[in-house]
Amino acid sequence: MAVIDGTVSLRVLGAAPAAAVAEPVLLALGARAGLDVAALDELVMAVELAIRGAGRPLVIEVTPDEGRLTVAVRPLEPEGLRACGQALRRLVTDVEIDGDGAGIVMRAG
Amino acid sequence: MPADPAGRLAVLAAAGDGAAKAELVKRMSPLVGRLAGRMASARVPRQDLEQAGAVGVLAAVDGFDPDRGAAFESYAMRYALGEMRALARGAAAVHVSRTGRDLAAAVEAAAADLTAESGAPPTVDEIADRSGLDEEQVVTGLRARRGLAPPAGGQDELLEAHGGWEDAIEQVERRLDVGRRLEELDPRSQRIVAMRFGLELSQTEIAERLGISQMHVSRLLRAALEQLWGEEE
Repeated sequence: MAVIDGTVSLRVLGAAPAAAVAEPVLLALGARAGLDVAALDELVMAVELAIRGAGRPLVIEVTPDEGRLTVAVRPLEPEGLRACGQALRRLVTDVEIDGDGAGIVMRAG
Repeated sequence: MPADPAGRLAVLAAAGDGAAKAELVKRMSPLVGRLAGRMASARVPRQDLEQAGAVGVLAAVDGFDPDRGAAFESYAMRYALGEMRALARGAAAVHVSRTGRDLAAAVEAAAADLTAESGAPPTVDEIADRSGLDEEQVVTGLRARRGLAPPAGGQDELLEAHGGWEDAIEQVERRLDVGRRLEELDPRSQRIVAMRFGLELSQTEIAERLGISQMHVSRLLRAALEQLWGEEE
């Protein structure tokens, strides 16, 4: 784990460990960004969905801002991302899928 | 108001009375304790089962309807048993320590009170203020809560009334591009997914419609998504 300019960067091998490592970071930074518990919960669900099936080392970058948390994840399985993309878009405020990566944004309120 | 004392406490607890909630858990503890004593083993200590049972009792408060004539004790026991069985068979996604379960129960109770008051889910700061916990403890409680399995009971209640969700199944299959996989889910999971992604209701709105807590909805939704997408892993 590294922290650079307020962005927490995690490098983890495999989906299950990545979800376990990312969850407390997302909850803590999301809380400080002012997200409510339902938003926090759906953000974690979205990240868990996005990274499922990942077998390669994942880099997860979490950037808090006032009233907003941005999570960048790479590399992801393109087929898996395509399959759950619509669900992701309904769980969080915004999702940008770029090749084998995804940017997931959750805003407060 | 129900005739049985536990039922009266449950009604008050559902209306946001924190003291009634505490009294209800205390009142139910001998029953929960007896069940925990029967189920305890070297792998699953009695105290852990009692804590899981208390979480089940609190979850039962949200869906209890005294007009149906059932005593709260028998109604809540299904929820308590569900939580205890889930713990005993290792159904929880992660091991949740006793401290974690205590924090989860405190966080869930505070969040339910705050949601009932404002109609919106609270922030971590608001839960901390209400519960007397610090931010780190609230986050620990939230993590522990996510690790608990959804209560096994209450399925019948979830499937009654509040029509309209059946029509949303087709919308969900189309919107989420999941084909017919949604129909393979159990009815409770189908309904939660249809309400969240078909009717596009928030967790809080679903909770209001079903008479359960937002955190209860969250656990059901997470379990449903795991069923829906898990096969691809």
